[in-house]
Amino acid sequence: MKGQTFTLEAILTAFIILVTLYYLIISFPLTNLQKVHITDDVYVRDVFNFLENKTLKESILCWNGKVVYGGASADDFNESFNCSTELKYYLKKLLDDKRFAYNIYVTYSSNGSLRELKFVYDGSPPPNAISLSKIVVIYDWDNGSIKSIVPDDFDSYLYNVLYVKVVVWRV
Amino acid sequence: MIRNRSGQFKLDYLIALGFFIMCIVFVYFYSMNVSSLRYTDKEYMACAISEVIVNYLHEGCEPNSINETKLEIILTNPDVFYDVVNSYDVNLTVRDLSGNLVGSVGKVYPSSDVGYCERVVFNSSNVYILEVRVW
Repeated sequence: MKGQTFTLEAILTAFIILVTLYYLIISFPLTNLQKVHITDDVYVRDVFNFLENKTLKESILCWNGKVVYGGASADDFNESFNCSTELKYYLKKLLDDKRFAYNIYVTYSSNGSLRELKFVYDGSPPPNAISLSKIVVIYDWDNGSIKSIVPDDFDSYLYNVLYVKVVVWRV
Repeated sequence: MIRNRSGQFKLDYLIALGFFIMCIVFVYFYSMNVSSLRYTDKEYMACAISEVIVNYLHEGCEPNSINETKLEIILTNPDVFYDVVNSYDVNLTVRDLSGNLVGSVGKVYPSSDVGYCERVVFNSSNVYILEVRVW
């Protein structure tokens, strides 16, 4: 009887230890959560305010639909575009060089429903990543390879409205 | 013999309890990080002052677009700078995209315990990084 009790205790203890280890493993963040400050949030918003006015629309217009894996540091970044774009330069200087990782998604409307495309993908973001959205409006007179992916969803001179969602985090 | 066994049982129990408490501590700190962005008072102040400077430099419709003449004025006239920021323990350093120094105004900042906020501003031809330090 005593032997059985000890065995039961051992099984229970092993179970508690395994559950605790499981909690520890899922609790460890993969990226450094401590480094995310309010200043990063302000900075990232500034960066995309700048990109919105400088090169974001032009780059998306000539995007050929191929996902850019690894951000601006990726060797094949330019293969995803049918025109020369300054996006790589600015993303590298403003985000990659300051140890930020980022995903950019482009959402468009098609027959009234929304569809999301991966534009730039750097991996799965941590839960406390900074996210923000920009709206890029495409008109009938805008030219670019994006038009072969995104349909004309409006009757007027409006071609489509893209929701550009950005998720940024520290690495 | 029985005493020894009893002692071992207590040790097992303590180890399990220790792991459990560690688990609670880790989950607690993890959830604190997830729930909110961390900031200190000085960082908050640096961001607030940087916002004042960006508002002063702002020109045009786009957010963060600036008047370059105003940037030159604020970098060359400390009086204007202190009037704008309304504080004395502030330093503004402006760099271009490559990290080259464009200008700096304000007192020399201490090496530690400094609130730091970085902003990106631009005009039609240039991009500048504003580094605001408060202590």
